[in-house]
Amino acid sequence: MGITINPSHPTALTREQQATLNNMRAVLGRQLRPTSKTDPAMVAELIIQNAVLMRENGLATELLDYLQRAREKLDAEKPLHTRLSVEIAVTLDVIDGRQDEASELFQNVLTWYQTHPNALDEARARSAYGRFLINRSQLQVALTQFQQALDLLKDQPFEAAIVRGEMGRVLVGQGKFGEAVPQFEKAYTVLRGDDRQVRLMNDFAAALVEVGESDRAEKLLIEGIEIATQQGLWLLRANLRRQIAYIYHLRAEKSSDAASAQPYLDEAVRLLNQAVAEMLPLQNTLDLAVVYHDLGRIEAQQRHFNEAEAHLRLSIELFQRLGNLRNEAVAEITLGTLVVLKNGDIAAGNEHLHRALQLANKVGDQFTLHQAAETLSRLHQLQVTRAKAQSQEIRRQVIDQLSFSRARLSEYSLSEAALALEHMITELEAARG
Amino acid sequence: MSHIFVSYSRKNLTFVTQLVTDLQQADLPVWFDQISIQPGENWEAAIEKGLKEAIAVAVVVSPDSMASEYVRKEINFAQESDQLILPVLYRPAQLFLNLQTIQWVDLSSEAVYAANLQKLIAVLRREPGLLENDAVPTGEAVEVDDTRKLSPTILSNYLHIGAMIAGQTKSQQLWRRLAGSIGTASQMNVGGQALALSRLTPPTLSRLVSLLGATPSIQILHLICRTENDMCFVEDDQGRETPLQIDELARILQNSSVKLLVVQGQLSVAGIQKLMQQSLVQAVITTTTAASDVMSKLFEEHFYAALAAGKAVQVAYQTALNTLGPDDKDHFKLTAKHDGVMLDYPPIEKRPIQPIIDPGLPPMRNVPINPDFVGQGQPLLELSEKLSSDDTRQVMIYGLGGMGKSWLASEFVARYGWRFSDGIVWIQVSEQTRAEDIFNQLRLLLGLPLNSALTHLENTLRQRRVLIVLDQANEWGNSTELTELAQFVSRLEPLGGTRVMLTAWGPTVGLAEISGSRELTLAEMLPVEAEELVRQLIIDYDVAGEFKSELVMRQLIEKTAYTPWFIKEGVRLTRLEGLEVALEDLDALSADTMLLFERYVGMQHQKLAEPTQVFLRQLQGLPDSFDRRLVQAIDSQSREHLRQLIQHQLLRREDKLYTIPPTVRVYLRQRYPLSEAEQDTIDQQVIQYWLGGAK
Repeated sequence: MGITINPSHPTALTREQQATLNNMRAVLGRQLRPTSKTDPAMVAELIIQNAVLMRENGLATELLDYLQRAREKLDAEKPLHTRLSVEIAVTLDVIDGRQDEASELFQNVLTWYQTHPNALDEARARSAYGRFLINRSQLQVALTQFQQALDLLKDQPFEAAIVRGEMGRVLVGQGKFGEAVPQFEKAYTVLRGDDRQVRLMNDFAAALVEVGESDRAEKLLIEGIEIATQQGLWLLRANLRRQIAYIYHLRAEKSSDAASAQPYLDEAVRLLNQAVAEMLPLQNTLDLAVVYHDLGRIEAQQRHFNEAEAHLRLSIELFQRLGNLRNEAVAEITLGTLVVLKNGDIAAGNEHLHRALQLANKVGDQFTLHQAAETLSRLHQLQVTRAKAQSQEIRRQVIDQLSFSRARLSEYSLSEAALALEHMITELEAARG
Repeated sequence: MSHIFVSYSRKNLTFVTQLVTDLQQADLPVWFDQISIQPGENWEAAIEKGLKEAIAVAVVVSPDSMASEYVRKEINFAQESDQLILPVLYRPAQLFLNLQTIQWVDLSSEAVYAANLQKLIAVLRREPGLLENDAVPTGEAVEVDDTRKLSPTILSNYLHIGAMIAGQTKSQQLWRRLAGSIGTASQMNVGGQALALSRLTPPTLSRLVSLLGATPSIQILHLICRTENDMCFVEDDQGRETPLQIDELARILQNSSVKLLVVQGQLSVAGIQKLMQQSLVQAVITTTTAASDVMSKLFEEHFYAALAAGKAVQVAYQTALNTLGPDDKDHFKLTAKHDGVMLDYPPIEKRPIQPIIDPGLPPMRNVPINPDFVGQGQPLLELSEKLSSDDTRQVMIYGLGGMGKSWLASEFVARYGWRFSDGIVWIQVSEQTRAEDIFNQLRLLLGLPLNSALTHLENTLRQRRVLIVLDQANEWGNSTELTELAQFVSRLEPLGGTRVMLTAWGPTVGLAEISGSRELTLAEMLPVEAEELVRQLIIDYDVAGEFKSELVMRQLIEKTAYTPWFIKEGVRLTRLEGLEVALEDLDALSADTMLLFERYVGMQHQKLAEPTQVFLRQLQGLPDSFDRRLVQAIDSQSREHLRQLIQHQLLRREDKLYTIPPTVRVYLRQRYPLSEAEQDTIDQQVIQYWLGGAK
C-alpha cells in the first residue's frame, strides 16, 4: 500500500473558485500596475493567501508573475519581501526546469534571516525548504530543516505541531516508525480541532501499526472518521476506512489458521467496499483504483475469485486511464496470480506477468520488476511440475514458453530469475529423456 | 437579524409549533408570527418585515397552505427576493407550480420525522448568513460517472434499479425527482438494504437491451415514458420518439433479471399479463398520467424505502399508498403474478451502507443544469447533426442576446452528453479567462498531471471523446489567450471525437476562422415552438387565468419578437403584474429585435432606485460571478440591491453565484463606466474582504 509523502490531490476548480480567481485576476491586473495607490503589502498578502490554490491548480507560472511583480513594489528589507521570496521559491519548485533557481532562492532567504531574525517567518521558510528537499528525495536534509524550524518555534506550539507532523511523515517514509510515533503524538494533541489533525491520522495510524499498536491505530482511525465526517473531508474519510481495513488484513495474516482469519478478512472487505462507495462520487480516480486493488487482493485470499477478478480488472482499467504504469504493473502481478488460483490458467497468468514486467521496466521500477520476475518464476515452476507428468508435446510447449520468458528476463537484466528458468528448462528437457 | 421565516396555514398550527420548537432547539433563528410579533405591533407590517429579512423560507405544505393566498404571496415574494425556499411536507397536496421544482423535506409521518428533520436542519445550517459561524458545507451526493466504472460485484450487493426517462420535455427534472426519492428512501431505512439507481442513457431501445442484458443486478426497471395502446415510447439516437411494443419489451425483459417493472404510464391488464408470462417479471406498477409530481415522489420514496427494508412488493406498495390522500390512491396500480412477491437481497454482511446514484452521463465539469427547455427542437437536431459530422472541430452557436444559446447548449449536454464518453467541460468565459484554465480542466478530466505538456494533452484528446463548451465566448478580453486557445482547437483531430461548442453573439475573431468550424445561428422561434413555450410557461407560472384565449397568447408572442428570453419575461411579468401591465411593458420596447434587449435593460435600469443603480455600476469592477458575501464588502445594503436587481432581471442567480448578464454589462460599460479612482476604491474593499476583513 505504501505511504504517500506530502500527498496532494489536485482538483478542478469549481465554478465558484474559477469566478473568484477571475475576479482576483482583474483586481491584481489593476493593483499591480506601477501607478496603483493601493497598499502593496495588502496586494502581496492577497497573492500569498491564494498561492496554494493557484499552485495546486496548475497556475504556477501565472502565480510566479504576480509574486514577482508584487515583490518589486516592496522594500527589500521588509519581512514581507522575504515571505514573497519564499512563495516564489515554492512556486519555482513546481515549474519544470526551475528547481535550481528555487534552491538558490531558498539559500538566499535563509541567509537573509541570519541578519534579520524573525523566528516565525524563518521557521516557515525552513519548513517550506524541507518540503522542497522531500521532493528531491533528500529526506535526511529535510529532517534537519524541520528540526531547525522546531527550534525556532519554541513559543509557537501550534506551528511547531504542524512541523512535527511533517517530520513524522518523513520518518515514516524512511521506515523509522518508532521515531515517527512520538512526533505524531505531540502534533496530534496540539492540532486538536484543526483539519490538519485529521489529515495526519492516516500516517500516524500507519506508524502505530508498524510498531505493533494496531488497536490504538484502529481507535485513532475511528475517531478520525468521525472528525472527517463532521468536517466534510470525504476522501480522507474513505482513506481512513481503507487504513482500518489494512489493520484487519494484518490481523488476518497474524491469525493461526484460516478459520480464525476469516472474520478479519470479512471485516476488511466490508470496510473496503464502504470506502469504494464513499470514493465513487469523489474526483480521485487514483485512490479509487488503489482501493479496488486492495479489495481484489483480499477477496482473492478469501477465494472469492469472481469478485476479486472484477475488482482487479477495474483497478487496472483506472490505472491505465491515469497513465499510472507503476501501480498498473503491481495490479497485473496480483491479477496474474489470481487467474492461476482461480482457473489454474498458467498461460493467462504468464501473460499478466509479462505485462507487469514490461510496465515496471518502462518506469524503471526495480522493486516491482523483481517482484514480477519472482512471481513469474513461481508460476513456471508450477507449470514444470505439472508438465513432467504430461505428454511430450505439452512439455515441448512449456519449454517454448520458458524460453520466451527467459529471453524477456534477460532483456530486463533479471539474470537471477533468467537463470532459474534456465534450470527449469534443463529439468524439463531431462524429464523428456 | 437574519432568520428562517415559516410560511404556513393556521389550520396546521399544532404541527408548525412543533417544527418551530425543533428548529429552535437546533439553535436556528426562526421567525414565527405566533412568537415573533410583539403585542400591539401591526400584524401585516410585521410579517412583511419578517419575510424581507429572512434568509430562508420554510413552507409547510398541506392542502390548507396550498389553498392559502397568504402562503402563495409569501412564496412569490421569497422567489423574487432570491431567498432559499424549503418546502416541508406535512400533508400531501397539489403544490403551487413554482414549488414543484424544489426538493422538499418530508415530515409527513412519525416514521420519517426525526431523520428528515435532521436533513432540514443540515440544509438550513449551510445557508450563508443564517448562523454566526457558518458551518462547513457538507452534502454528500453519491453520484458516479462512467469513468469510475461500477463493478458488477459491487452492484450485486445493492437493490439495483434501472431507470429510463424517454420523450419527456422535462426529463432532467424527472430524473432529479427520482434520484431524490431514492436518496430519501435510503435515508428512511438507515441500516437497511442500500439502493442503487442507474439511469439508462440514451433512452433508446438498444441501450435498454444492452444494459439490462449486461447488468444482472438490475431487478427493478423504472420507466418514465409516454404510453399508448400498450406501447411505451422510447427514443432513437436523435431523440425522436419511437414506439416500443409490449411484445418487444417482454422479449427484452426475458434476457434480464428484472422482477419488478414500474411504469409511469398505463398498460392494459392483458399486456401486463403477457409481460409476466414471457419474462421473470413478477409484478408491475402502473401510474396514471394524472398523478402529480408530488404524489409520484411520495409514492416512490415510501415504496422504495419499504423495498429497501426487505418488504414484499405488495407490502411496499400498500405502505406507499397509505401515505397518499384517499383520492390519490387510484393513480397507482399493482398487478402481481402471485402473493408476496419478493426481490432478491444479498447476504446482510455484504450490504453496503450508502446508496449509489449513477446518472448515466460522462463526467461533467461545471455544466449548468437546465430545468425547463421547451421548443427549439429543430435547432437542437441541427446542432446534434453538425457536431456529429466527421470533419467538424467546433460548432459556433450565434444569436442575439436572449435567443437561448446557452439554453440550447445545456440542453444538448443533458440529452446528448452520452456521446462524449470521456466527459464534458463547460467554461463560462469571462474577460479574465485564460487558455490554461481550460487546459487544466481538460487535464484533470482525463486524469493527466496538471504539469503535463500541452502536446501530451493534445495527443490524449486525439484518442478521446470530450466536449468542450465555451459559453459566451464574446466575453473574452485577452487576444493572446484567445490565440493560444485557437491554436489548440485547430490542432484537435476531428476524427478523434473531441469537439468544441461555443456560444457567442457573433464570430469571435481567432476562433471563427479555424477549419472544421460550423455555424448555427439562432433566430427568432418558429410560431409553433413559441406557442409551445408559452403553454409550458403558463403552467409553470400558474397564470392560466390570464390567458383565456389563444389570441391573447399570440399577442404576447408577437410583442416578444419570438425571442425565448422575452417570452419567459412576458409570462413572468404577467405573474407579477397581470397580463395587461406585462403587455404594456413589452409594448414600450422597440419592435426592432436588434435593440430589444438594450432597450429592455435601459427600461429596467430606470426603474431602480438611485442607490441600487450606483451599486450596479460598482459591480462592473467584478468581471466574473460573485457571491452575496463579497458584495457585502462593497455596500452594506447589498442584500436589498441584489433583490431589486434580480427582480428587474439585471442580475442572474444560479445556486449561490450572481452573474451580470452580458447585455447588462455592455449597457453599463457604454453609459456608466467607472473612473479609475472609483475602481481602486472597489478593489481595496474587495481585497480587504478577501483578506478576512469583510464587514
